[in-house]
Amino acid sequence: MRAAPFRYVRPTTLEEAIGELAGDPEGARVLAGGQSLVPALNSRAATPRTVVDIKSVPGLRTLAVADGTARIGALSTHRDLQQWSPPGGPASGRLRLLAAAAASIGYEPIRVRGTIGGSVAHADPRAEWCVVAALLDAELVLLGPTGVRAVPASDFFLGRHLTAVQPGELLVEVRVAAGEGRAAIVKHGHQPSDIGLVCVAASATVTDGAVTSFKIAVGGIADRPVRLDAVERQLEGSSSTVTFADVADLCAQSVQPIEDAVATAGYRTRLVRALSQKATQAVLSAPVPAMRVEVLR
Amino acid sequence: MTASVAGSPERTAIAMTVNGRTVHCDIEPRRSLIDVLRRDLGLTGTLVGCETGACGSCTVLADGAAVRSCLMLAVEAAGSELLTVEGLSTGPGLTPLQTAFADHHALQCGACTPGMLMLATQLLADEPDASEHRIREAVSANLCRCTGYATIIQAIVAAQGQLDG
Repeated sequence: MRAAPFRYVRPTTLEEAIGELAGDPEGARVLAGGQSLVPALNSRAATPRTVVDIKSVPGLRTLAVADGTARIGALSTHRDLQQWSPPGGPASGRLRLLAAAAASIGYEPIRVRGTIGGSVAHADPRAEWCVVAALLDAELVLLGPTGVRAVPASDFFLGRHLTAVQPGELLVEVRVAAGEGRAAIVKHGHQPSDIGLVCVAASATVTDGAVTSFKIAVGGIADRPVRLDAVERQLEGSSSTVTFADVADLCAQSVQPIEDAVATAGYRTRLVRALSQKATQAVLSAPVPAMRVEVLR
Repeated sequence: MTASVAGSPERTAIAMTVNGRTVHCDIEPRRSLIDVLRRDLGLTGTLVGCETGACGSCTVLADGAAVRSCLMLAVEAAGSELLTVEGLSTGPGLTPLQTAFADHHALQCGACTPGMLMLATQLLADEPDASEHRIREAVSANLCRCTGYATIIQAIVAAQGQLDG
């Protein structure tokens, strides 16, 4: 199948890019790595009037940590993030999740093209970057004709392939607060590099045997990534001798996954139980291996 | 790599390097890279498998990196250096990698072969001392329904040994 006709532009400045998007708010689509948009164009799931290729806009691919915040350019490829060692040592422990999540996405030919901005803007509820953004309370920085605004992840994902990006706006940066502690991502798919039917990411800090911080986010069970607030509240401040199976049960009890042709709600719940147990074990047990991504077979 | 791209939905002019030669195309921007390689440039060695980026049979090298040409618009390749399977051998014979594939029965139907050759070419160029685990990891990017991958991996290991010599 061949894409429907469109006009293609490749702006070389941010102003030009915003101008193109604002000039045709309903008919212009952003092309970054193309790993999601191009197949959508080819199948005609997407039929824009104009495709705005932003890969020639400078300054959107930087990776830096400043004032305790990781600033990730939207055009950073998954491979860029896989290879990034954020500065900061143990104080930035949870940023090591970025490389682990990036490494789990697809295969290298996908990772050299696909971008974090594209993945987040595409808002597949199962996507690794969407779950990571929800877990780490990322801020999504949007630039539009009226200026720049930062939207917290909790307000950014509004539905399947639906985000807070307004017509004419461009996602330019993902910001994540550096923080100590451990984080892990675990997903289940037929192959290790599949997007995963269900994806769980967790982060924790343990001080003097008490869980001072525990966060857990799940993708693939709803139309957007979900934070398990109730589980987080129960665990934070509790003794770290809680069993991982108990945590897994809590997680399974706190979700009501979607049911569709791919899997039943019950199957997804079983995956939540199994994956949350692994993720919790990864962030709470000591000694703990370095950030790892595991896939159930 | 920035290159000028200008045109209309009907015709957009691009220039790129393919297998060492500069080519100029005047194409609809909606065309995928694999479509332009095969139809406009006659390079039918790169095969269409799934058209959705799942199988990797469309793999080519763009600026040294293995990419899925079904997941790229041709216009995105403006200014890039592309290498397809036709560009591996610059003479009348096969390269050590291609010979190793033949010798080790690393192809049966051949559908995955051009893509596998491109993956192997990039891996051995970037990581000449890649471990077998790395080779295994790299070829897992592409689907093969015939060989079970073992002979593909053996062929790449054998070619690696030859390139070292």
